[in-house]
Amino acid sequence: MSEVLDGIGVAPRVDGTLPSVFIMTHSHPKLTRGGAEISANTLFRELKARGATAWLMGVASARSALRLGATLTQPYGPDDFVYHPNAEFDYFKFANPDPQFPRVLEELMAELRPDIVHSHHFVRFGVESFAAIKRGSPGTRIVLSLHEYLAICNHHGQMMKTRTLRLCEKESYAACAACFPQHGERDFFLRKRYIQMFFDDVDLFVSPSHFLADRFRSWGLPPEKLTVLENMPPERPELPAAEARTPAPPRPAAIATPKPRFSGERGALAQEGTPAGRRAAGGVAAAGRLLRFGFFGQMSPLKGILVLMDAAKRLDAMGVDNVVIEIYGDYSSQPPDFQKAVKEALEEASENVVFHGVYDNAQVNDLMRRMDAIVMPSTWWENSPVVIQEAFTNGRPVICSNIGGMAEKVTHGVNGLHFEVSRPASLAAVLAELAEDPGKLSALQATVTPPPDAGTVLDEHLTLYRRVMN
Amino acid sequence: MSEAGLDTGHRGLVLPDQNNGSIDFLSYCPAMEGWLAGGWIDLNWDDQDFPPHCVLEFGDGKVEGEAVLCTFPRSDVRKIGVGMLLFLPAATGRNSGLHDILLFQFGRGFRLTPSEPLDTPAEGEAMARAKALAGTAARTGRRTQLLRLLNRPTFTGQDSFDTLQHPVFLELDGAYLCPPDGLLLRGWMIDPFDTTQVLRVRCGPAVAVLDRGQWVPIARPDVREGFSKQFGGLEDQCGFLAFVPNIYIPGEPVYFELQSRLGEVVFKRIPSVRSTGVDTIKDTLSHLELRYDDLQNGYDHVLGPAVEAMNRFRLREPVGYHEMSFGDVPERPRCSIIVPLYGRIDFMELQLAFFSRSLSRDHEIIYVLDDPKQMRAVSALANSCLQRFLHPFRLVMLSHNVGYAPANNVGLKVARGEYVCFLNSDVFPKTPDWLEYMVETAAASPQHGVVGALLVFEDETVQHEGVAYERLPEFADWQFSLHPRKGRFPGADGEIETVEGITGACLLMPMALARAVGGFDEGYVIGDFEDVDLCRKAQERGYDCVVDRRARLYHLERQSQGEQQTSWRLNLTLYNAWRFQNRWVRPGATGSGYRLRPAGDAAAAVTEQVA
Repeated sequence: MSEVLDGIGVAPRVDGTLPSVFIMTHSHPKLTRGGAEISANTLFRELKARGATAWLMGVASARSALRLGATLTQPYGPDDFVYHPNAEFDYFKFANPDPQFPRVLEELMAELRPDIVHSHHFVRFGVESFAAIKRGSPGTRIVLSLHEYLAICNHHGQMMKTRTLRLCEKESYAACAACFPQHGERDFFLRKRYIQMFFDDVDLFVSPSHFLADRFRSWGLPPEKLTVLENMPPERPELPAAEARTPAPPRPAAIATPKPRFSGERGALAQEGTPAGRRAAGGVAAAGRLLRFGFFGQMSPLKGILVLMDAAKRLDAMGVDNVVIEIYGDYSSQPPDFQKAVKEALEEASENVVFHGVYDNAQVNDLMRRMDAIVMPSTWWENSPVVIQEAFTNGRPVICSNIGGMAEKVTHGVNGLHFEVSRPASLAAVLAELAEDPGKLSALQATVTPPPDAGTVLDEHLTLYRRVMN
Repeated sequence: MSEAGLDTGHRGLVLPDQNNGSIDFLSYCPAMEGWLAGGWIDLNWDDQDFPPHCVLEFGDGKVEGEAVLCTFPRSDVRKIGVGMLLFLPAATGRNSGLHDILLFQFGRGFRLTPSEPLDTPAEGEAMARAKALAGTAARTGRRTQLLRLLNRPTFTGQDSFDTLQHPVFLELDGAYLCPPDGLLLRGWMIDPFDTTQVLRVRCGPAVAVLDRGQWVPIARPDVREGFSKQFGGLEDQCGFLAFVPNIYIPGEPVYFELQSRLGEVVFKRIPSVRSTGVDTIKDTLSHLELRYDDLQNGYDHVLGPAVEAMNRFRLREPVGYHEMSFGDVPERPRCSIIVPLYGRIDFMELQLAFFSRSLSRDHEIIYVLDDPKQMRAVSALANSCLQRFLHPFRLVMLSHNVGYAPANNVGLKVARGEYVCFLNSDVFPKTPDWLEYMVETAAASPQHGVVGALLVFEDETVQHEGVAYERLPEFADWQFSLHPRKGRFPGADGEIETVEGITGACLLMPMALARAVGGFDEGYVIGDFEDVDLCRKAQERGYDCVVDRRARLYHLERQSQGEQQTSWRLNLTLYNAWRFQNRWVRPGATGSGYRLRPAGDAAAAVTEQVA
């Protein structure tokens, strides 16, 4: 055992017929619960469940226990590593200036010699990690799962213009420099060359959507190294009983119900924290079937929450009274200006909006099943949103913006409907149409198919691993 | 008896061995523009109006000319002589000790020796004493002449411009020392009635007449605006930069002396004299826009000598440095790549990343950090780069910021290669074997003294494929080095071509030649023209400059036009251009063989030089 790895124990290999996989993620799943960490953790767990040799490495957070002078620690087990960076990460070109890490990683690879390194992300490890992996274990094949458009776009990988928050169709040195005037065009030229040079060491890039794959292809990744494969699905809470999965059929009578009035009282905030809105609870629409549309997830600026509330207001003004928008999410960690905007929007919200606040992901199936459909009004491209997978798991169609990964995952008229991105009127029109003819919603629900389960996705991963090993 | 000196003009005259009198005091009086001495002389002196020839013998030379001499009764020497007051005109004073005063009258010589110790009062006191003594002298034309001189106003430390009948306004924004003894003056002057006859700067015994025709005019609309209600006919260009050589004496007050057409003499103190550095050079070159003949005049008389002196002072001591090696650097490298670093240290990180995949370990890379405040950041980054990219290199960290040429020269001093390649930090390899090609070309012919590469922008258009010279009429017809085909895609020219010069952004030479010509000339400031100067030095020795288009690199030169056209930067380029003309163009204009490109935007051509 090398000096730098002194004290690091390594679990023995288990099943020689399956490839051994070293999984890397930019934050350890025990510490944070982002999409990449969840996918990495599920992959790790499923591989081990199959009897494969698998290791996991995540980056430490502020609350991770340090061992003075140690770059790697193993607080969670012999096949589980936590990397403690020794330098401030360069998020512009994804360089990791930590002088210890390359050697530590190289030596760890030389010791483990995994068949596959599957990296869910390159931030915090640095793109140079791929070279260190190859130096330590030249025979190891590197698979990199792409999350967001980070390598392409310096704006948090969102491909949105910084000042206008308009959608960006294609990067260019000039366009990127316009978004980030503190950097010149040449900086973006160098950024791209730097990242791509180290990407040369990656054997296979995995994209969870064709849309994202296309963006990376036009950015310059070799097509033969790009493949589309859905991320490992998150661990699913137990599904409710079968009958609960089938919603009561909508009743067209609801259409004729007159618009309710609650004088002197506001809509959403008054019901904050309650399971359903006044309209839902008050039985105003008792004569007909009330349609519930759920929003789930972070209430960040790009998730389109303001578009949704604007659409609700329009529905109210249109006299559509058999629709309730139920919001499950949190905005407390958003920028102050945006928090203020959300708060104001909730105060001014129409009576058809119910804000429930933060929810426990363990309850997501229960909550989604109370809805007739899930709304995803994101104003950015998205990639392969987990919310869509969760909706389909629960048999719920998705009403989403007509762009990017959302539009790809939701087939218009089959398992959901599209509306024009960032256009509240368009969303209101789609919802009004369903309110007027709830039968359409039933039809969509009938054609929703659940996404493949973890075992199936793992099989696809293993197929890819074998392909790249050969 | 001994003979007087040969160059007194009085050869053959016999001087007495003994003294003919004594000097009690001696002072140089700038207000009188001459030496004032008092003492006594023996009775052999014939007190006539005919002016005697006078020689002041100092330890380091002498001053001589026709003196004005008055005698007066003096009781303490009445049996052997008379009191004597003497004035000898001289443009400037001197500091070394007086040996003797020799006087020649009607074929006779007189030797007056200084008393021990000789009194050397300040100008004001000397003139006051002389005035009192002259009052007791016989009423002669000489006495009148002396009293007139003694009554000239003297500088007492007070400004007196406001006593002029017709106002003159003169204000200084700054006075900068151009070592060893020059002064650069920046200010403004308004003389609405053309009152000034002579304007001088004085410092102790030193004096200089300011020729306003040689000033660099500076637009000061704020000043003109302020005076426009009082006076008509004022112009914006009332600001000035003036250079006064050989004037400054530490400890002596510096002041203006203005003599008006009405005979008035007034003074104005020059407040503090500032020391200089790069910031002063920038400051000096800001807010100027010299063109046409003004350019030549301005740089010949003001900016050239001033910046030259400041730069020489800035580099007066060899710069100290620390040297570190990262990784196993080769002992006998084929080529030493020298890269000066300033500001963007992340370029080192990027270059090393790219070199790690393209450069043979037979070559050495030497980074010269010319940015001492970044030492710790660079050494940390260097360590990180070694660990990440595993490409060895050397790092030389200079103790203070010196600029492009001196930084490269330090690199040259420590380099061990058979060849040297000067490389900018914003140059990145495009083809992996770029250096192999360049070395091969240099080795292919003993004529190939300087080898360059094809440098392209990030859009693959040409940044450099050799330098060509062009005279620019707008800029005093000076020669500038330009980059033909810049901004266009590379043409179908041959792989290796002889050119007039090579950019220092990527320039390879045999080490022996680079050292023989002394590396880069450090008289250029910051980073223009040193490269073509180096090429000229090689060409002067019979070598050729060639570009090898097989070697391709990206050169991400400064992009922002705004940045390039910052006035101090442009003017610094013009300073460097002025120096280049003086070194290579003016003595024996060799421009006949240069390719002239079609007339274009001359200013753009100069900013191209900046880049």
